[in-house]
Amino acid sequence: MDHALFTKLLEGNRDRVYSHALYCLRDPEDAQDVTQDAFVKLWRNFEDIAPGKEAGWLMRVVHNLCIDLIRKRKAQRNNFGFPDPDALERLPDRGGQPGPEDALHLDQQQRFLLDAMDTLAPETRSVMVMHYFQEMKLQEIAEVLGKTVSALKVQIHRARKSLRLVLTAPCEPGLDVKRETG
Amino acid sequence: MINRCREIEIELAAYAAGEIEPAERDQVHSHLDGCAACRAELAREMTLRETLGGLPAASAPANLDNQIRAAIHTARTDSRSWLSRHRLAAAVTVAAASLALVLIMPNGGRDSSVQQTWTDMEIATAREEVIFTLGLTARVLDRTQKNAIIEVFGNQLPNSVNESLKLDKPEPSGGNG
Repeated sequence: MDHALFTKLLEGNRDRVYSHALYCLRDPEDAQDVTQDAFVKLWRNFEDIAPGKEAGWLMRVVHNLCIDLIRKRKAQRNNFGFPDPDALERLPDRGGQPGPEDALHLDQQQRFLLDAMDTLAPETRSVMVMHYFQEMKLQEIAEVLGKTVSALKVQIHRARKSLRLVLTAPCEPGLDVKRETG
Repeated sequence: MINRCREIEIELAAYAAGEIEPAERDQVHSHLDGCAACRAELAREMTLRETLGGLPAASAPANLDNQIRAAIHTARTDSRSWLSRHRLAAAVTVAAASLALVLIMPNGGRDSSVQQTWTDMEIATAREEVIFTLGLTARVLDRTQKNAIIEVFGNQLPNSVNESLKLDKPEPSGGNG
């Protein structure tokens, strides 16, 4: 076990892993537990991870840990894990008030969107956080999760459709914006 | 047209991220020029991108590093405790097998000048007992987890034994990783 390398990985990925867990789980204590579990797993499996692949491996672990935890919560609530088609209409009405990420000073739109994302499947929520917040490329996510880029595009498309009620655009971006992205 | 719209909508995340081939990008452009519904969908994609992309990065609590190191220390201690128990069991079994080999071997593995007093029946029985003892040893080894075996025996196990342990690479997963 290369302790120096492990320390470097811990310091270099700690906040990234924690942030991902926080925005997936929306509970600072759970996010802390998941981050801790992810790094203990990294330590246990360190010798078997290809050099240079540790960060991606960590993202996959934290993704899986978050999904497991969200499913456990749902089971505890006796939800049986079935998707609820009306969930978006029955979101807890925080009225844009501070949520679990209070210390992060999120704006109202961010809070509404995160609330709405609670209605998505746990895996989809994590993929959205990877792509939009972590700014991971679709190809990168596909490699980390062992999925195809096409499957991810469909998953994100469906999620966006589910979230359309809270995605009221302040203004239409126009074709100029689009052309800049190409 | 509806099917085409769905195809375009599926591409919008990659399109907005700039992860699309130039030829496909041109096709999306030309479709958007004539389709208000897909332009509205692109607007929602941009809102999603800006809203989630604008989330602040959270800093892990200051004590998290220490908690992680403590958890690793605990895991290591548990692992050693488990290992010491299984190391003893494995060592006893191997010692028993070795003793059996020495006792059962013709001449006791010692002076070859001593006259052979073993009958064919005794030799056959001895062989069966050796096989039985080695079988027991193999079962103990089989029940010993791979990491313990490696730590106990290092790379001294014969290749045939190592292969039989089927040491797979771990699959990173939430529950079992």
